[in-house]
Amino acid sequence: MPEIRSPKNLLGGVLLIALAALALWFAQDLPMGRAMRMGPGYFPRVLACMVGICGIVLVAISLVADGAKLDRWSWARMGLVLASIVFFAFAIRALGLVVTGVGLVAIATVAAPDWRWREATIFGVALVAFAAVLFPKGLGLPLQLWPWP
Amino acid sequence: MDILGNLVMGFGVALSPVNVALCLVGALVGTLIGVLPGIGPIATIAMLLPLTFSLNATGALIMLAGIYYGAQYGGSTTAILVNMPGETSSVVTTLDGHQMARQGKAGKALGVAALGSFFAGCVATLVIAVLGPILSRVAQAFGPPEYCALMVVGLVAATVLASGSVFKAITMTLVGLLLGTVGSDVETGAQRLTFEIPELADGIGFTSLAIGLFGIAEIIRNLEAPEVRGVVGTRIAGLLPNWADIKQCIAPVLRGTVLGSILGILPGNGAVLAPYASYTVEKKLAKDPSRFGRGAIEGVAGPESANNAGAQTSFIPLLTLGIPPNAVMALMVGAMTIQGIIPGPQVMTKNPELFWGMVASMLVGNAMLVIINLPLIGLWVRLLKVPYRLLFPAILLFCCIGVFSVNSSYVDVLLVALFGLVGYALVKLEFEPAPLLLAFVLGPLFEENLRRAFLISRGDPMIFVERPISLTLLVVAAGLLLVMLLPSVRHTREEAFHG
Repeated sequence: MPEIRSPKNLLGGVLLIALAALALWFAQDLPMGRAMRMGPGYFPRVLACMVGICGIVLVAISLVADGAKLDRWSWARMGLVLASIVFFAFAIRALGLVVTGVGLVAIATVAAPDWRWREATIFGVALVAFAAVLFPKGLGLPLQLWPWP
Repeated sequence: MDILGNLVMGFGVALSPVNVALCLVGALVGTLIGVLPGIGPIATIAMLLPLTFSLNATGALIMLAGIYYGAQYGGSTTAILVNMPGETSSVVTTLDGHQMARQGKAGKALGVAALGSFFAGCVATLVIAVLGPILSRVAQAFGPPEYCALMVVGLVAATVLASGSVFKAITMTLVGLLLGTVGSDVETGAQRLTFEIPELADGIGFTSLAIGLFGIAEIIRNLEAPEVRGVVGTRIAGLLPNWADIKQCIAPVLRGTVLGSILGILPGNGAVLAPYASYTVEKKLAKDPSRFGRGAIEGVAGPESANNAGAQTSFIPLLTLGIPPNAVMALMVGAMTIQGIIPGPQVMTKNPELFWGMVASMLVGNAMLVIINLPLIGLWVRLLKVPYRLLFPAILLFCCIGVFSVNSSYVDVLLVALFGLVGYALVKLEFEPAPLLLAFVLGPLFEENLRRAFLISRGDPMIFVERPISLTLLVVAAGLLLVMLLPSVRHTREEAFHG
């Protein structure tokens, strides 16, 4: 078993190989064509192969050259920020901007290390009110405000 | 070529009340996000892209351009007062600008930065006016092979100028090209890599990718590193430099303007390097280099002029060749396509009022920035005191609303979350996301031209070597890559990014 000398590069390489494999798997039914008349599958497959090769090289590098260790990931903060976006994506159609906006701000605020109840509530309400006036009314974007039409 | 006549026509467009208002809004929003660290022009422009639907093309681009160069002004304010770069382009300004502020010369530093930027912005805008028509005429002779070769140069330059490992930057370029192939095939309409999600038939949304990779990833990163903002508490007075300062600054400003203008035109975001280059030059030329880092006024004047000149001239490749040199310009392509304008050399002949209106608006906008911003500095400083815990939910909400309203598609918003995760992972694994975004935009263009070139040559790759322009461009690209492998250049490059 060779020694892993740069975990960062190893993980990066493995992820690239996975991406290339995914692309190759989904592009397998697309016709390649020939160089003179390239089919829709030509470009994606060539690129996927190149990405895969880069991934393999990176894995190889991680076994021979010393490199940085993996950084600590802030899983909780990342999860909360991403969750607030996912919430927005699924709620906006059904619940309208006001409820969705309050929900997004509530989920996201908790991600800050120094958040405070009162301040966040006042600011969140003001922010959503501002957005509700600005976007659908002021700029005419087609956004529903309330859960009912 | 009647530049003067065209400029007069451009001013006619730029000075219409609506366009003046849009220019002002753009410049102010730009300054605002420039002042605030943790939100850059890429995320802001991506966020505001949907708002430009209701505007006409010229107005939309005038506003978006204002955001970009406004951010260069705003970035220096934070750099000088807080010792924190508001934008990447103002990293160098922190070195001497903040030292000046500590010595009680904050006003002078801010004044010199603004006036130097103003001068550089005006000169660089004139460079666009002169070079634009010439380059677009050259570009009209370009066929598919030349366009391919040009894009190769752009992509190679983007990897060379990215910070960090060159190999990883190349990888990012390839990933960007691969992501660009998602969606319907241009020729056959075949669904490529869409994972049977109907919303992906038109490809991955550019706004989703840009906001996720840059905006969201940046937010997560800011949240994990608690910030310390020590705003210089002294009163800011004496903004206007005196005669001795002007004499000291004239040469650095001129040199910075020239350096910035040249580097800005280069594909692959040369504008980012401009302030570093200018600072190095000034330090080398100074009689007493030890003053640098201790509040040398030249160390503010030169780089500030350079970054503004570079920001301005980076519009040249976009407006004349239709090829964006950096991520912000890639967003401009998005804005133009939304408006039904295909970027390229034909823009100048088909939409002259767009090109010249934009050029004239840059002069107007730069003037407005100096006049409006200097008195407003106090307000910007107060804004700096808004804590990040209140700022980022607002940014998140605006991003989501912006992305959602492009196509009223929830999948686009989900993609923001996905690319936010990807962007955060890239930061953690030390991959630079900028080449990915540029390659993503250039990818479909590149593939289309490549396929056309091969169709013309009946599958013979020699077509790229037989045509003189395409051969020259490819040699340039190969040269750039080779130069990168030289140890001495590699060393200087590392210094430039970490010096």
